[in-house]
Amino acid sequence: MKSECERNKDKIADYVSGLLPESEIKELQQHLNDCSTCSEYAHVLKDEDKLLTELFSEIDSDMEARQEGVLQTISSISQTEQNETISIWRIIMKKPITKLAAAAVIIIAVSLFSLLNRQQKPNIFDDFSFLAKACAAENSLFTGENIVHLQNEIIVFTPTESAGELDFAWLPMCSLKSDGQFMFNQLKLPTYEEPYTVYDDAWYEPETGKFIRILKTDEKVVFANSYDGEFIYTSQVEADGIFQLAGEAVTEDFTEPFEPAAFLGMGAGLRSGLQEDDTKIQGLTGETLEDGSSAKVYKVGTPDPFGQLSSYWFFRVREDNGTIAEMEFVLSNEPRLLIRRVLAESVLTAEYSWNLVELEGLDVTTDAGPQVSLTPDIVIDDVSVQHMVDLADFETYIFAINPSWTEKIRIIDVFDPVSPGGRMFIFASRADDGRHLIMVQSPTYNMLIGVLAKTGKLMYTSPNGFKVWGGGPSKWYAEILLNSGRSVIKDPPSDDRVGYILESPAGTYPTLAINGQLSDEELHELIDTLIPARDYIEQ
Amino acid sequence: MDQSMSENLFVACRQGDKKSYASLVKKCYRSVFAVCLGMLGNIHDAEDATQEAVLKGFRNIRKLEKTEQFEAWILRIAKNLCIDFLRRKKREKIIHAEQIKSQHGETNENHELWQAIRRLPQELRLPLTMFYFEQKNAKIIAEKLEISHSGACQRIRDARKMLHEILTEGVKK
Repeated sequence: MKSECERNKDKIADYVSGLLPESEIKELQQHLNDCSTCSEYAHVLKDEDKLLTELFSEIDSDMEARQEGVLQTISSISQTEQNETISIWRIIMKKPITKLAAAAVIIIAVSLFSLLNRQQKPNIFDDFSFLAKACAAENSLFTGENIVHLQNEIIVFTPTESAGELDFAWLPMCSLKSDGQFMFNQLKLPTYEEPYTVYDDAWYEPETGKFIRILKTDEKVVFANSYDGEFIYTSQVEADGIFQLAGEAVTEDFTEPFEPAAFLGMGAGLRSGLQEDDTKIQGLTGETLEDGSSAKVYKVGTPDPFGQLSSYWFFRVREDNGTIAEMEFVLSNEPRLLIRRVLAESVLTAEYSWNLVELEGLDVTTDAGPQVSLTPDIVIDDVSVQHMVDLADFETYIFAINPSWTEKIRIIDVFDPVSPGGRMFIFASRADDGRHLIMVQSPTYNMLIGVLAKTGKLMYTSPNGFKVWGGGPSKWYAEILLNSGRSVIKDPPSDDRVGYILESPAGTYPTLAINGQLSDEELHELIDTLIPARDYIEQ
Repeated sequence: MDQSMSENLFVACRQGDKKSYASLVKKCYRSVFAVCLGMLGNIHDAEDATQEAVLKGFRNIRKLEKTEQFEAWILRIAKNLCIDFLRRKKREKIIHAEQIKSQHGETNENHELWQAIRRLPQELRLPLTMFYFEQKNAKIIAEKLEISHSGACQRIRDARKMLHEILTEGVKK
């Protein structure tokens, strides 16, 4: 083939494929008439084109059957599987903001636990949110002459390969202590390649207030707590992996939980002070539940500083009786946990004795199955400065002088979920004029919030070496902080709230929120009184 | 299907409605299959990968914001699954002989032409396969593979030339 013919090979390939521009066809045809080699090449390519067309057409002829097979597979997905597959939570914790958002959700939830701790009946239900209504509706399940048995499933979904940084989900869970107060625990749910389920069973005898709560996986019992009318039993896993039950006689001032739903119900620990018309609650169109009944869906979350809803809850509330049927936690658009009620029945006897004797000495050392665990005391209210110094693995600061406009500052010790092993300290103080104060110090904030500080502006540098950053997304984090201390400050965050990130001399980032405006003078005075907590103790 | 109807389907899909999702899938099933076939070069694997992509789409449809992005999105899912599949295959070091053996008896695949297509590098086999599935429309191929029109034409041209080389190897010898 001549060099000109070599160049024409491309054109011939295009020509037989129908890709040669109209303007070049005539010229090529002319060449093909004159050149037998190219003509032969074009001829062969045309034959190949014909064969290719036939081959792919033959493959295509089965397309409908193939498609039908796939569509059938879709329709055969069971509702259970569908829920699971839709709800594969892939937590993407690459971005600091996502971590902060996760931490934010957690501290808000924790503060709601604190609300329950105070047993401030019934004003915590006063806010007429759908959650309050759902919890009130749920109380009706805990009535009657027989024992009530409820079973919930907690489905833990699989994170993506890229999730990396946080390979567990967690859920706040309370247990009852012998003085009638709640203990706040962290149910740690590691994630695995396959989703798994934790079964949460509760039996409650309305007449006596006796109850049993047992959490288990397919392989083993994870946690148990019960009340037999005289003693409170709480499970403890000894170092040798044997299940022990600590029984403590109830104290004289013990009273049973005033509302069992707030303790054993679906919404326990996740009560929200949000109003139904709040922008953070979005009522979505209804859905049909697995049992065929209808549910109203609510999406609840706080947008991040960029206006994105990076984490939120879906609540599916039954239309028929107003109780919560399902709760689903989503982060970065990917569901992580699904909690759903699978059973609510009236029974004559509980499956276990009220004193849980069946569980005593149970060997739970098995490595099989998900290693779900429970960490007690994730929230310890009203701790001392000494307690904070002892537990913090970073330099903590306190106000040497209580601000003149607030009540005494209270310190709440909360586990820091994003920094394993770390503790978060929430300083909270209510003010008569509404300018409540919250300050949070935590390993996660120290690690991540510096990025946010620099998006704002430097407002003040104090003589004691603090840099005060304001502006930027300060309204956003101020709202989260103020919500985290709702158990103390009571009021919701106001529109004129302000937030400041304090860069300490030790390189930590205590984060401050005031539920109202501070004058420069007041701010400076406040910051100037900050001293290392260690120094305060030594004084 | 008009835009609002398509929008309604999409909203229903996001709420887990299987029928609505099936309707969306019908509109692009062929393209997804073509991509998988072009990338994997094996009908059976392509069927599996297509099914997996469709199911993965169903699981993740809530992540998608607009209905008009659906096809491009599901094609991306399919491509990524195929890449994973090929990586896995590579790791497993499945030898060619086994591949031939596994295909024995499958429709079309013993075809000499098909064996030649399989020998094309994936970056040429994919556009060529798509080309014959999409009524030889290079513009559509370019859109679906997210490459330029001239790039698509170039690859189809190169694929045709290389395929001819492969098919005529014996003759030349």
